[in-house]
Amino acid sequence: MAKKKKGFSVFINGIINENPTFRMLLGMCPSLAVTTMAKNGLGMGAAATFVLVGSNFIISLIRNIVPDKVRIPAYITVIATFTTIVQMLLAVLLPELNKQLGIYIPLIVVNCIIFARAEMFAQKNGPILSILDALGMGAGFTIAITIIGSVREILGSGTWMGYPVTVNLFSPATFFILPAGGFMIMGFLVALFNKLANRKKNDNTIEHQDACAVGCPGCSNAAGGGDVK
Amino acid sequence: MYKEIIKPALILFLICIVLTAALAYVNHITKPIIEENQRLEEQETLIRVFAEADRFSKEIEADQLRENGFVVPDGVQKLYEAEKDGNLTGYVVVVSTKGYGGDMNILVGIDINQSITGVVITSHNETPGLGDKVTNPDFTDQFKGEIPKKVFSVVQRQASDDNEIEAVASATKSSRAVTDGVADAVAMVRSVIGGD
Repeated sequence: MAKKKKGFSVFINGIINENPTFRMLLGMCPSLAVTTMAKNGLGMGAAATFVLVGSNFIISLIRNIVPDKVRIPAYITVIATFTTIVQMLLAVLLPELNKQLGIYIPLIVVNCIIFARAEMFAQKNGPILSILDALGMGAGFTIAITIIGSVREILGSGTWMGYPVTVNLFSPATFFILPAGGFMIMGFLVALFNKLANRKKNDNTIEHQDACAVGCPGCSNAAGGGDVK
Repeated sequence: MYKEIIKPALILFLICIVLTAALAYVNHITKPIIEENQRLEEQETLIRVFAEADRFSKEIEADQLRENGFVVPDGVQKLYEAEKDGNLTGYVVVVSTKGYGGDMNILVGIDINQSITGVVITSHNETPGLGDKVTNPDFTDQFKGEIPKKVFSVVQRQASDDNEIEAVASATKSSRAVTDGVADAVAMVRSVIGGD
């Protein structure tokens, strides 16, 4: 029973307390770049979640075999493999979405969230907890970028998931689907999310202390942080 | 020595081998499906610009056309012959043109009576939400119909003449790129049909 409870809190941790996008501000590049439409946000989130679950699972299995020295190349290889698989699968199953997301699918390899979870969680925990952690983080990321995508699509294009919703209400402002609008919406949503999440006052997150143990230089996205094309 | 250097290298090597094998397996399964998808997509897009045809020839590359003595504008990549009931009824030209964000690939269908049957942009790098609106039928349908005597020109107001193309708001450069591509396709087909 106790174990079940821990698993659940690990899962929910990624959605609320350590939401990668709204709380940790990780993976900003895809969060801003692909979120011009809600559908793209959802697709990107799902693809990243698949990679996250796969890499967290494998890394937690090999964590005791891989010597510390080569752990980073080993993890990157695992992550790159899953990213390539996801790209092939997308090309087969959802070619339309694959075209929309374009370069951002291969860029999942250097997604900060995935590497951070490998270093901070999968490396120290067993496979089942690691999968739960990946699912929670993936869900948190997906929910977050789908919300950003929804707000930007509704305000910027007047549609949601491709369907017109604001025809008689207001005329959409293209500003919101451009990068500047993306940053603005992001800022407001982070503020709103933090306000709501802090109200609960349960700040006893599992890895509150070593959340940034890797630090900025250890983060694979450090050089490209905020680099939105 | 062994623990410090050889063991880590060996383990990393093993991990790479296992993962590469996994990738090769997935590639083996998905590759034929992806290729088949691309082929179907090609036929489908050709039909979109030339609905009347029931069969398309194999692609004819631009170099091949040049060798046969036709005047080939720079943007033209390849040409397909469209057939209906075994008779030649027109051409589909694949052109590449410089857009605002990079190369754009455009399919232009032109029948033997020199009417444009359709224009579809198959790939582009235009700004999402702005330049990519040139892919909408609202814009591309302006080219449809008999090719005007005068050359196409892009205007930033309501089009009043049949050679005028109304630019997509805030995307004049993208609109121009498409128009240039269509003009190349027209020149190509005129060269193939002969006369003007």
